[in-house]
Amino acid sequence: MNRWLAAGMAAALLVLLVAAALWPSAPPPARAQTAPDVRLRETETPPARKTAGPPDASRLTLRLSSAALDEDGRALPDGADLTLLAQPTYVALPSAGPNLVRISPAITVTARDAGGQEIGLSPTARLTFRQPGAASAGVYRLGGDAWHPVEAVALGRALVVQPVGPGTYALFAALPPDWPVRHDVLTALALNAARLVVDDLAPNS
Amino acid sequence: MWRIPDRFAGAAVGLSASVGVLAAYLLTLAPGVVWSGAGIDSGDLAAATAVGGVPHPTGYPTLMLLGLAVRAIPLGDLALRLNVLTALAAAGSLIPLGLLAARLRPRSGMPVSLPEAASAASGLTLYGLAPLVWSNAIVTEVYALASLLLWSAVYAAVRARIHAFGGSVAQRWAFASGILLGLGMGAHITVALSAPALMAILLRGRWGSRLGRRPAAVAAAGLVAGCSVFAYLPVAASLDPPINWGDPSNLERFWSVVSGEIYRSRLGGNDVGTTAAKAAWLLGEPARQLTWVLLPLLAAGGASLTRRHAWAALATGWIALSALAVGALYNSRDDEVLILPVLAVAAVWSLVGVDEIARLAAAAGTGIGRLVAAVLPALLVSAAVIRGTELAPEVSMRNATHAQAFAHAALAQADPNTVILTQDDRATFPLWYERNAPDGKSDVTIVDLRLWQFAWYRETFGRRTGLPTAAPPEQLLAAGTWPSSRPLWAVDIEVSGDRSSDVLATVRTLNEP
Repeated sequence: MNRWLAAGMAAALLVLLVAAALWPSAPPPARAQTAPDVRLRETETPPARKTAGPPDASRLTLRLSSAALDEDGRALPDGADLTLLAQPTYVALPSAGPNLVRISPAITVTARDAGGQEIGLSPTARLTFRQPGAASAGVYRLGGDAWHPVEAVALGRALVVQPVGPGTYALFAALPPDWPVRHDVLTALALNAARLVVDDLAPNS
Repeated sequence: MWRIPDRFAGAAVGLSASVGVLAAYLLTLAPGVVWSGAGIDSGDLAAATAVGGVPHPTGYPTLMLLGLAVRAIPLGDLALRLNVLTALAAAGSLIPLGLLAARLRPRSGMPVSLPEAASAASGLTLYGLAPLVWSNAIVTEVYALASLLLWSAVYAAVRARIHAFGGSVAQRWAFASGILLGLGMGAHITVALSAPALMAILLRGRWGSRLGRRPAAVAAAGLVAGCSVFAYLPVAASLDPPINWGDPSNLERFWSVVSGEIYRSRLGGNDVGTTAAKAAWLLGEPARQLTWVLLPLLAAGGASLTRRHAWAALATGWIALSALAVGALYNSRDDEVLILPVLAVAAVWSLVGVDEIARLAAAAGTGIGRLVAAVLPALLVSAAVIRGTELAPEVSMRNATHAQAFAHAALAQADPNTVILTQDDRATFPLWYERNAPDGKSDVTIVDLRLWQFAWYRETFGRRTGLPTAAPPEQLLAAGTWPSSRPLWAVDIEVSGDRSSDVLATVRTLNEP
């Protein structure tokens, strides 16, 4: 082939590749997954849909001393107890971020003072529990009718209850930075949120 | 100046680039099965390997057979071993590319100076470090193995063409080319698109001559031998493994699996304008993936090939264009990866271009020759180092532990005989792997509700669990006919980004036995 023709073709190829590389926008990514999510044949089975779990009275309960509880920086009264009710049968697993476990996307929070009277909490308040003695925390799993301690569990240095909507909160457990993400404890904590009792977070409670 | 003899030049370039990218791959290797982009199928492939089963269509028998060999190595987690296998295949695929480029370069037969070899090796390294290549090299996937086998087949065909016509050496290379093509089809079925290119190389345009047809006939016999790996699928299916996509134990189901029947609707579903826009975007990928530095070399290589080895330009052009067409027409989560052969062709052309530029510079005068001999390797080596350093944090899957952590925790906490319902690859595949790993919790059953539509899936479920298959488990639960002794969980997946840590897996307990 003539060298000039070859050079011309090379130049044309170069221009084409450059023009294509400068194409203004990428196509929207396709969403189709490996397992087909469209009905291709044998369609007698109606599409699956999500089913809400039956109501469940299991609760995630935290008891804290008043000194350890802040509501947007405002310390709650001495002796206040806080109860977190996890959304029934809804538990989450650890991928909310490094060293952060998102335990439940919706938690009802109630606080009571030492006399048992309910304390009004702002629906948008961010609640932070500080733990002077994190190692004393206990995590229990409901097995049959009894609560059993989950071995080798120690919660982190702080728990954060963050509002995700009026009246609902997400509970995050901030874990020590040296905890590996795949640590079984971390996942056990998250997975069993609907069945857990976390107690005695503060040494003086 | 010290020079590398011609017969070692391709191997030297391919091996040095291969070792370099292998180091990058191993440093960024995924520790197991993952959730992120290129590796979502890793859980399916690893689970199928763990049980000697059949992964999603088209079954990938070559990977499965290699995986069974890897499974026999008693060292570390199987998923990690398979990731290493993928990295080795990806790095190894650079060797036939280097060998091929050495055969096609304009000064083939002459020794190669060290700067020229460094330029070529760096150009090849840029291909190995392309994000699309890299991300598919560090977690269990089929594309690296398919690339290794495809380009080995092309190189063998070129060797068969170059050798004495009809000689026994040529026949051996032709047979090897056919076998490698067949094995490549067992790695990924799109390798079959390259068959016309290989036949064109082998025929040398002498279809009318019996002697001319002989290498192609020998290669066809090799192809049949290579395709024998597909026998793995019915054999594996007949053993009723827990992972048994399509149950290819009879001819109809076998064809359904190897032809990818369940994915056919994804081919050509877009209108012409959308397809053309996607093709244009994909055509720009060589520049984006291989960097702009290689574009002039690619064009120079294309010109050189067109003048001196038009058959090679046409054959590699066919491979690139057919891959581009499939990439433009197919619609799936990972369809961009189908253009990997385009990048490989661009790499080969660029390597040929390195030699062409050096030849032109030398012909232009000693001074220009020396200047190019100094500047080109410096430019390409710098580009490869910068590219690798820049991309490593972005591509790395070293910390992608979330998928396996999720699956490990979910199964560790599951009560005996729990049935877990899933509707997302990210949930299904890691759970399959953890459930079917050597120390897995085999009493737990994972049910992907998207697969419930298929008779083979319901049959396998009913046969293995003894549970009713009249309706999906959640419907049986709602109707009150689900066995009270079987805990039923459902997994929901929320995705906020492309990285492994951007996935939130949530478990709902649907009943309290």
